[in-house]
Amino acid sequence: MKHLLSHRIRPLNTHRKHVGLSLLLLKEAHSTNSVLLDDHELLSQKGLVVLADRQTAGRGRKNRTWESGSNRHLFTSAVLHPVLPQRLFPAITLLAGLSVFRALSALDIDGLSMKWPNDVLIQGKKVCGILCESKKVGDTLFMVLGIGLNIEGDASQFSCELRDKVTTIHHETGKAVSRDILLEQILSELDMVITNAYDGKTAPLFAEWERCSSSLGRKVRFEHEGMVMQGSISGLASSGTLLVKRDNAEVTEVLSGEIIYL
Amino acid sequence: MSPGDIVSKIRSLDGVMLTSTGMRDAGQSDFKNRHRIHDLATLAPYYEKMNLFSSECHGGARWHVGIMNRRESPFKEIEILRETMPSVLLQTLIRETNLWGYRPYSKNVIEYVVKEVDIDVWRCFSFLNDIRNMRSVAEVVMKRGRLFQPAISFTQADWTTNEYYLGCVDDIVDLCAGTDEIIFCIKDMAGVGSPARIRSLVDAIKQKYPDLVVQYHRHATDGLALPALLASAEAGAQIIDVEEDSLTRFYGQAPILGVQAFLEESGIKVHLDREQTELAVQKVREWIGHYEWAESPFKGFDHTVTSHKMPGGAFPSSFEQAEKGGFLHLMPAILRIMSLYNKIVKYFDVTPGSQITWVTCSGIVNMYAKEGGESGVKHITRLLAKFVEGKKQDMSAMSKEEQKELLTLFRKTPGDFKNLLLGGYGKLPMGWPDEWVYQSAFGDEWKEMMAKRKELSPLDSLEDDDLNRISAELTDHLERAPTEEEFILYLMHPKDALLMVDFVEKYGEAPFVLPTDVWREGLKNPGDKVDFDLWGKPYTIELASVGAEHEGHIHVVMRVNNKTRVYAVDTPRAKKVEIRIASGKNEISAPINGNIWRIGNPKRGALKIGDIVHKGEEIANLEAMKMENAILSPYDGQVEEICVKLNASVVEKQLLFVLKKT
Repeated sequence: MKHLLSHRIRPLNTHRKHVGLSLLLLKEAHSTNSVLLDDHELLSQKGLVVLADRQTAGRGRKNRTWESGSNRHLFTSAVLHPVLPQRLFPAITLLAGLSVFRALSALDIDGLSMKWPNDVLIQGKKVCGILCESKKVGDTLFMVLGIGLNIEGDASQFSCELRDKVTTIHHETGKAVSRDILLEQILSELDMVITNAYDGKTAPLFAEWERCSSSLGRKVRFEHEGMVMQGSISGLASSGTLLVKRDNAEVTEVLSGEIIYL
Repeated sequence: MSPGDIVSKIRSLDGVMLTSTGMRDAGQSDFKNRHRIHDLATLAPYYEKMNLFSSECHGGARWHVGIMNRRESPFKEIEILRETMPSVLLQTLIRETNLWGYRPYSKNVIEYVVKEVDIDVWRCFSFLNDIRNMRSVAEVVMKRGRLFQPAISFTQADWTTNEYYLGCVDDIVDLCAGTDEIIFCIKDMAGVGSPARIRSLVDAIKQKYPDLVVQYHRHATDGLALPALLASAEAGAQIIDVEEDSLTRFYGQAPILGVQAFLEESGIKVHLDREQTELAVQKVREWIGHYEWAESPFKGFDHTVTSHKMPGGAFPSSFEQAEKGGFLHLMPAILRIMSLYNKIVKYFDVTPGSQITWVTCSGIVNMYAKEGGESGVKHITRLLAKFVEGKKQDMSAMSKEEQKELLTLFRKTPGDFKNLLLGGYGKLPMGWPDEWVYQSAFGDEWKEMMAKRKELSPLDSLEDDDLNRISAELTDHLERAPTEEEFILYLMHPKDALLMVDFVEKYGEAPFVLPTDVWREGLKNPGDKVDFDLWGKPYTIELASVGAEHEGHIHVVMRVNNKTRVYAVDTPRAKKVEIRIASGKNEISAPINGNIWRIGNPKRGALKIGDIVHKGEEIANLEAMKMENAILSPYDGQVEEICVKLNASVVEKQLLFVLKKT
């Protein structure tokens, strides 16, 4: 029996190999990640991307909310059938951020920087949120990359606590950028990055992240094995984890994603 | 070229050719087999043009030391040499039924192993000169079109007459169906053949078998190598073993340039490219300094080797053992006992015989030293000398007390010695030792044990090894299918092969790419770096910093091609936090490194012991770099144990839950 939504899935005319091969367009979804995660058939479709015009229950990490704002933004989730070794899964979130960064750079957006592990910022304010979630179907592990990118309007569409920390592309650049062009660019960059990762070429990607992130040398605070520590970012380890040089000259590998810039 | 062609070519030569042992015996005799292929391979471009007969680069103890210490696979070494000196014949030294290990192997194992090794010239010897033992190796080598080089072990004793040796040669010619496809080697492993003795022997052999191509291998120990080599060449030997001058010390082969000059001055043509050889000799000097630590503490030529017969290849290791064991001062006594012992139990002092001799004699001396100190050692030396030299081994001429003592002499000998007495290795060259030796070794059971003596070659008496069972055993250990090479290494040295596999998994190509100084010492100061090529790509590793020690851990920061990497090194002070690794069926483990930020799931809340969970239900969530991984229950079950604290950092495979199936 065909899937209920299968008539709404159209193949994308593209040279991409792994990501963004077909598109499911929805007017509204509670959460594009959940659309995929809750439906095994959709999850099993290689290269499927879900795009929603509106998101009503967007999710961030640890069950926090992703404020979807009232204007038109990019709410999308892509399925990844990973062939990376499991220990590199966490690196995928960093590579997703890098892909968004590359896409925005290619569209001539200035003032970009990245915050570890996957935040993309314009003029120091967050413009994109990425949530990677994995799920096992039978014996196969699938990954869903959720990307929420703020395009139109200004900070007033968001709640008070967020207004100083988040922004939109239009607000920072004055440009009106097409959502569809953004999606296409992001999917292509993501596909190139994922292909390199599958081929074992993560090292140059991490090096690129180090160069473009404006993070090197930044002072941060983080938690490690139950203790709060402080230091400055010295780079990425070979698995994409963050290396922080502490005041006692020791370099620590940060595994958990919670770091605070000082 | 086929073996027959090679033999014809040598026969028709005017003069001699040389085999360089620079890549094997030189290292075994004077450097404990520690020369790394990384350094030896620098000689290959010169060897390629030197016009050597062959390069001895494989086998002997180099194989085992390679696995155990250098961490270099003998297979990989051959690959490297084939690439760098493709036209040079590669030669190995193999011990008849013991191959490159220490126990006799069954026929099926010998056949299996020999056919997998890519070597051109196979020098095969038996420490008993029991030629029957060579049959399996001979068959496989010759069937595969490689050159078989049977060797007789040579020593100087009243019983090792030309007649005795010619008997061995007869057996060899029989085994190999003639002289057209083999090269015959005289293996003077201790360097005891005086010029006159060697001249006489080679002459006698060439008279009986004029077409037999003879190669002479001689250690330099007694100080008379060069004249002995000349004597052999003058008597008709056509290939001589030598090593690069810069590698020579005391117990290996004679210097190649010196030998060439001496032979040519004496009217014998030596087919060698002198210029390339000088370059090879010079090249050695670029790296030989890195191996000073491996040289023998016991130095100098030793003409008394003609009495104790310790082979050159055993000098450094025996002295090192004595030093480590704290009995270096007993060495002169041990050597003296050896010279008396080898008149009682007659065989050739070469592997594994040399090991049996060493363990037996050092054991006896150490035993007397322990019980009676210096005077104890003097006593046993005097007693044995009286028996062997004074009374010509006539037991009845010794006093009752002396007899009693001799009858306990071999009581504590190792199993290998006893196995030797019972024919476990093959036929002893002069037949069985006197009965009193059996009494001494076996005590009350001596008559029964003597009745069990075997006359057969181990080839005939050993049952086939079950290769499938051994392969299954190895598969179990490795938790995957072994490669052909791993299997063969395991056949030869099971324990050390497994350690080597672990090492290779951890360190990969490191032994083959790192230069010797960094291999041994590492990078010591920040700023130190090392350059090398790996799989065609250039790499630089630089030591950036060594952090302060914190709770037993030190973080070392390196830059690999300018990318920063951090390594956590545990010092002995590291508190080993007990991490339980999941192993059993009911044990749920962490899939990757990360942080357990939730136990249970949002729907049902936290989990406690006794809770029932369903297949597919999320029981914990692990976060790594903002990536959340739901850990699902694989079956319907009940929580028996929660092995992790909330917000703990965990490592891959760490035990999280014990979940009983319901």
